[in-house]
Amino acid sequence: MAILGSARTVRSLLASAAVLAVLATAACGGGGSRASDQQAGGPPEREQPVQLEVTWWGGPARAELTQKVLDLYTQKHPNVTFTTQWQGYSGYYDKVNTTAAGRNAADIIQIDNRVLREYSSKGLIADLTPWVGSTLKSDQIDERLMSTGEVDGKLYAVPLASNAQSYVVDKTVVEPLGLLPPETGWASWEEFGEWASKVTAATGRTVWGVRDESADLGGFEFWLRQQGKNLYDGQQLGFTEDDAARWLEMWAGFRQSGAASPAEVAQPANAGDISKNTVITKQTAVTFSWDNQYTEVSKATDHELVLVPLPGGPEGAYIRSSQFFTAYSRGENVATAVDVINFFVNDPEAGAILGTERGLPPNDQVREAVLPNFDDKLKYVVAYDERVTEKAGDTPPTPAQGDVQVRQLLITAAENSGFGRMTPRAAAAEFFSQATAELERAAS
Amino acid sequence: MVDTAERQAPPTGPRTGAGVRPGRRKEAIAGYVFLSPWLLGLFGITLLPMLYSLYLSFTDYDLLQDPEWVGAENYVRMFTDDPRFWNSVGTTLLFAVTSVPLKLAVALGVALLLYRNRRGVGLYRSLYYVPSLLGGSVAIAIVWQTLFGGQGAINGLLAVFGITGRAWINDPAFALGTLVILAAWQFGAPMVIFLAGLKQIPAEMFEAAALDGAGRFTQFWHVTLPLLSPVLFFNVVLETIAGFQGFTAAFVISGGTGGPADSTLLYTVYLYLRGFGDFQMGYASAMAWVFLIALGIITAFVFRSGSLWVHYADEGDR
Repeated sequence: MAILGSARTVRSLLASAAVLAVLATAACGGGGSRASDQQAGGPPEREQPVQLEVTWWGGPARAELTQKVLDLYTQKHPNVTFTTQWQGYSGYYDKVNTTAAGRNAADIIQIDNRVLREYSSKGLIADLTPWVGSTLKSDQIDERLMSTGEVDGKLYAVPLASNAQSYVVDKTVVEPLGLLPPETGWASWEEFGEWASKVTAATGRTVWGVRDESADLGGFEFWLRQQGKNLYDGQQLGFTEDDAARWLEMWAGFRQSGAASPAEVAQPANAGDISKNTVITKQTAVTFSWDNQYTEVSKATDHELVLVPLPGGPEGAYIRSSQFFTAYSRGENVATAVDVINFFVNDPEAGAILGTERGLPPNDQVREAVLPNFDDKLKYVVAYDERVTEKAGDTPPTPAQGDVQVRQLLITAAENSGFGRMTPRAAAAEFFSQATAELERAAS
Repeated sequence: MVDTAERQAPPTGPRTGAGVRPGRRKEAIAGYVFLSPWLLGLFGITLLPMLYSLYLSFTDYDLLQDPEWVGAENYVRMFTDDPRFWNSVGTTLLFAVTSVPLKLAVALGVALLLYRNRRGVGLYRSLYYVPSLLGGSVAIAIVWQTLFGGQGAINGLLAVFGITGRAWINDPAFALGTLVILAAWQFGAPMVIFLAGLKQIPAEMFEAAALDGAGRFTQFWHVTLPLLSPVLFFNVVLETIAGFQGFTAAFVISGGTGGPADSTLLYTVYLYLRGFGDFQMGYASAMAWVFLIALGIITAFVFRSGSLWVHYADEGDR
C-alpha cells in the first residue's frame, strides 16, 4: 500500500500507538484511593476542592429532589461539588458491585438493608461509628430506626427515611362496588381473600382483587412475623419449609378463588420496577407498596388511591428504614461524605426539600418542622405511617448475607407455583433447600 | 478461513534468521509496529485476563477481598450441587438448538428471494439487513419486551382477530420462544453471506439442470444446496457460537433475572448473575472456563460433521 511509504504517516501512527499505551496504563492506575490518608472520625474538608459522586436508585422525582439538596450543600460549602448516578432498582446493585470491584464506586451509596450485612462485612462501606456525635448527629433520630443501620454494634448506614408496608387500594374501582376496605385493614388473610374475590367478581374479572403477591419477600416476612417467626435467625432461615409451603398455598388458593390475579399479570412487577405496578396499570385493585411510594404511584394514575395495612395482626409491621446512605470505604473524602449524609438527614432545609419521597424524615425535629408545609397527600402518608408503626412489632436484626439470593429464589418459587410448573409444596421445598445452601455459602 | 488468516499473518520476523536481507527484517519490524495496537489488545484485553480468570476459577473471590485458593471446589459444586447451573445448561442448549436452525432457514429463504437482480433489490437487501444492525442492542430488547408483554402490541394485534394473547415474555412457557424469534429476526448477517454464496453458483448449472428436466425444488436440493454447503457450513459454525453466547436480549427482557421462573436463564446470564450479582467471581470464572471448553467441543463436532455434508466444488475434479 502507498501509505506504507509515507514517513509522516508512520510517525503519526507510532505516536497514536504511544498515546494508546499511555492511556491504557493510566486507566489501570486510576481509581486509586486517598482514604488511607484520612483519619476516621476526622473533620469534613472545608478548604480543598472535593468532588463526590452520589448514587441511588429511584425515579425522576427522586433525582430532582436529591439534586436540589446536593446543590444546597454546594451553596453552603462551595469547595464540595457532586456528580450523580441514578437508575431503577433492578440491576442497581449489579452496578454498584461492578464499580466496587473496579475500586471505583461512588462516594455516597444508597442501599437498603438487603445488602447491608454483605457490604459491611466485605469492607465496601465505611464504619461510620467514629463520626457519630461529631460530624454525624443521631440524637434526634428514633433509636430503633438508627439501629437498623448497624451491623454487630457498628454503624455502617444512616437511615435516610423510614417507611412501612402497605397495600395500596384503588378507591375509584372499589368504592362504586360498595367494597371500600376497612380503614384499619382486614382482620385476617382469609377475610382479605374473600373481599378480594368479591372485587374480582364484581368487576367481571376486568380488574383482579389483588395482585398475586406470593413472590414478595417483604410480604412473606410480614406474614411470618404474624406467626411469631422471622425471615432470618442469624445466618439461617428463621422459618420452616412448611411455612414457605403454606404461604405459597395460601396464594394458590387466592388465585383459584379469583381473589388474586393470575401469575402472568403479577410477574412483570416481580423484579421491583415501580412502573410495572399493577394498580397503576389498572389490572388489579390492590398491590403491595411501601407507604412512601404513595405519592409517586398516585401521580402515575388518574384513580384515587388509599393505603391500608396488610391483612392480619399489626405485629407484622416494623419500623424500618426505607433506604440508607453509606460512605464508600475507599472514597475520595469519607469525612466530607459523612457530612453530606448528615446534611440529608438532619438539616431542616434539606428535609423540607426531600418531603416523604424516600419515606418519612428520620429526624423528629425536622419532621415536626416540615410537616405543616406538606401537601395533603404527604400528610396522609405521614398519618398512615404513624398509625401503623405505633402498633408495630420489634425491628428484626439486619438480614443475613445472601438475602439478595433468597429474594430471587422466592420469586422463582412463586413463579414456578403460579404458572403451575410445580405444586406450591414442591416449589417451597426447592426454595427452602436452595435458600439454605445460599445462606451457608454466603457466610463461609 | 484458514487461507485468509495466513494471508493476514505478519512477516515472520524471528524465524528469518541470519541469512535474510536486512530490508526484510526492517519490514518485519514495521509489520509488528503496525500490529502493535492489535497485539496490545490481544495480550492486555484478551489473553492476560483469560489466564487470570483461569486462576480465579480455582479461588473464592468476592471482588472486594483478595482471592482465596480453594482448588477444584467451584467445579465440583457446579457439577454436583447447583441445580440452577444444570437448568441454565438445558435452557442454553434449547435456545441454541432452536434459534440457530430457524435463523439460518430464514436467512437462506430471504437470500433466495433477493439474489436475482430485480428492480429495487438493493433497497430490499438493505432493509432486511437493518434488524441485524440493531441486533445486539439493548434498545431492541426493550422494544421486544413492550411488544410481547401482556398488554403489548402483539396481543393488541391478536385481539383484532379475536384471539386472547398470553403475557408472552412473562410466562415461563413462552418467554424463551420470544427470544428465539428475536434471534431469528436478526438474520441479516448470514443472509448477506448466503447472498454472496448464491452469486458464486454459475448460472449454467441451473440451465443444465433445467434442460435435464429438474424442477425448482430439485434444482434447489441437488444444485443450490450442495454448491452452497461451504457457505452454509461457515454460517452454521458462526451462528452456533453466537447462539450459545446470547446474552443481551435475555438479560434485558427478563429484567436482569433470567426469569420468569428461570426460563430465560441462559448460561451467560447465570454466569453474570453469579459474578456481579452474588459476588462469586471465582465461581463465575469456573463457569466461563467450562463454557469455553464445552463450546470448543461443540464447535469441533460441527467441524467434524462438515466432512459428511459439505461439498467443495474442487473435490469433484480429483
